[in-house]
Amino acid sequence: MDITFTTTPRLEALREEVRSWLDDELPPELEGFQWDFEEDPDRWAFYRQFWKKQGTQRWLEPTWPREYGGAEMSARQARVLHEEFDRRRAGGFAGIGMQVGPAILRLGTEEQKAAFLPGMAAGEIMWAEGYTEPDSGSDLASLRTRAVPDGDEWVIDGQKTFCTAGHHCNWMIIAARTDPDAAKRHKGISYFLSPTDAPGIELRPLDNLADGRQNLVLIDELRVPNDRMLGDLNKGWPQVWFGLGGNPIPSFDDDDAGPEHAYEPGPTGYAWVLDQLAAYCKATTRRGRPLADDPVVRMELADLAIGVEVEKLLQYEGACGYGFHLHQAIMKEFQPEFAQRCMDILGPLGQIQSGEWAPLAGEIDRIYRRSFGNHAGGTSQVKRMVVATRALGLPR
Amino acid sequence: MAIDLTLDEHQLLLQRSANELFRRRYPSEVVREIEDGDVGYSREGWRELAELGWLGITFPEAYGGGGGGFLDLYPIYEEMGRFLVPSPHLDTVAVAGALLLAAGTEDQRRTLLPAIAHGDCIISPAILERDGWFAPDAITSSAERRGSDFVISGTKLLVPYASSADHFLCVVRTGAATDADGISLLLVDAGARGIEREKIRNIAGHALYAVTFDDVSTPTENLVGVEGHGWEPLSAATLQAAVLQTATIVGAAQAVLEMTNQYAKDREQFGSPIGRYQAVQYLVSDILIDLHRADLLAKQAAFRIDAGRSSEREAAMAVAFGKRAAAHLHRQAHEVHAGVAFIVEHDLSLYSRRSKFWENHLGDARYYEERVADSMLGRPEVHT
Repeated sequence: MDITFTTTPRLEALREEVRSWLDDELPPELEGFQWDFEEDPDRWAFYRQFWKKQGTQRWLEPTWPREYGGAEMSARQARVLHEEFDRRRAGGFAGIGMQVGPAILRLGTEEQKAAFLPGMAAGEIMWAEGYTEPDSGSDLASLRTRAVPDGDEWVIDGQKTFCTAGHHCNWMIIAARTDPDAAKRHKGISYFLSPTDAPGIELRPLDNLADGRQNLVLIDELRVPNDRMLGDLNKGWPQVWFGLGGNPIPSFDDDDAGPEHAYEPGPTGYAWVLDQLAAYCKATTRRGRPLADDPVVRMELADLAIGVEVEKLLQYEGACGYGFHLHQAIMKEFQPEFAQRCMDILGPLGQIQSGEWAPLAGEIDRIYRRSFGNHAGGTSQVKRMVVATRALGLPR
Repeated sequence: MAIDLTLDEHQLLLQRSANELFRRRYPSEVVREIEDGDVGYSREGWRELAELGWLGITFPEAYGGGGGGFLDLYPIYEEMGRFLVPSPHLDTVAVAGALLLAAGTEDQRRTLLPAIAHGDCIISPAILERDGWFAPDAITSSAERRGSDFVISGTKLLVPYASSADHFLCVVRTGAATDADGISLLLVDAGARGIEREKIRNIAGHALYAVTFDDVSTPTENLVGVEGHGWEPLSAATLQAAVLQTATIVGAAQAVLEMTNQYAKDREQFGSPIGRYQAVQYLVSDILIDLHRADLLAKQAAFRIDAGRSSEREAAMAVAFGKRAAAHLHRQAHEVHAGVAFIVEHDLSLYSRRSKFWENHLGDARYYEERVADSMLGRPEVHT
């Protein structure tokens, strides 16, 4: 049993390189960008350039092979890289469909790999996701978008929805039914890759509660060439959705012989927010004493800290390959709870979204509104059902 | 980078041995008999643990121990929870033994640690008093120096295994002006004149006593640690012991989950196993989620203690969460079992009643949440 982070002089040199690059390229006022929850055109314009520069460093997809624009980093090198990006709260590369990258690495033809992977690693190709439909959310396998063969093309008709930031993306991965007669409905689904500006695709905005824009996608006689099917015909569900098909993703070792020494990674994500909240409580006076001395607030902060610690441990555990749905259930349920408890601590001023009176520069308001998006990738109830039926073996 | 959340081979072997032993020795009928008996644990079982080397497993070899690390205890405690093994191990080994190692005199260690390891000595910490709060300000029992003795007066509550104890580790207030917290730790021979024990009927059926010290003398060389500076070593030892108790909660939770999950599959209502209903699935999966989180937090804390790294914050988190989880998961288990576990023959209530002891022994969840808050915000100033 060991949860020790160790580093080496070479890893620290990499850290220093990343740190100084970020100091040059990322002004503090542009920290904290979240592509899925922002529409400010200036911030988007900055990050489009930022990601391209990051791609030039081979740091967008650092663990990919060099021929596809990666840096062939080992897991621990990539960890150091990401720690520094997280420390500076640099906005992550946009596109909810980015998991298509590993899928193409695993399943793609050589031509597809050459066509897409270098562009992704360079920050030129961003993927939108065409999975969810108006009547197929948690029950995705009930999807009704159809793809029908026509010569060396497929013709796709249907609707996709909640396509987050799709209007910023130039490519889309679309799940469509290719065998309407399959005995089991998830056996007749295939995945297609299409430019978002192709004739036959129309995006209509759906603004969400957290300042992001999702989209209703109307697909009308969209023509996709045969060679833009990802994976095998009718096998999209097990291959792409569950990510099990094809060759394993290459993983690279470093030949860094050390010496190793232990370190504690800095706070990121919720832990960072909690540090801000603790500082706010120390600086705020209520009932004649610092809020940080209020016994109720202390209990609430302690509870939140424990929840954040659990989430951190779940991520470590996830890296060892344990139960995914159990983690998802815990994290999805924690998200709105965390947000509400933070709101409770702030009190009335927590309503203020920006400006000089907004506690934590409005961060808790944003976290609170974003917490209603915890269904992305599956609702907490679905995760619970999977835990109950698969992990515990209860009847379906 | 090393991120691995599993116990090593040696610890897993210990776990298997403990599982096999306790499964054989502590079927629920035996647990019930012990609960109804006078002693509160099995003397044969205690001897058996001594023979296995599990009483002194973490003591240095020089004191008759096994020289093992903190993580060697973790799986044993988990299994004690799974089988509800009633045992003075926590109080004698994990609290008193650890305190003697950390703060005791060489003489105290040489006398007492080998005796504990051999199964010949039970030490019961006597901490709580009538205000029921685990903190130095709640300690009113006093000790004053008289010649070469300390003389102790006061009443201690919820003292475990007081009828079998060879010594009490008595937490008292001493009055020196240079005191840090004014608390001193005194070993008291359990046969000393002026000690009265009264068994306290309690929900857990645990061997808990009220112990009154009426002008009880103990030689000054029985002082453990520095006079007037006793709370700090005590709270350090109890914090680590409470991590082991969290392992016990985790082990018990596994048994409760197994029991509840099986019931949800077997019990049919409205023409279907109740485990098909999502309301019930939420309750059962709550137990898994509680136990998984407690397990992660407790293992992290235990690892850090074992490796000698800073562990106060992580240990307080594990203990606070474990105590909250214990309360919650037993409640959920009762919701699923409903009527059948309301009848005392059902084993679930053995767990849910015992849980109330774990939730409170060595400080409750609030006490440990306050320690977590200290680590984030510092100690609050006293405001009047």
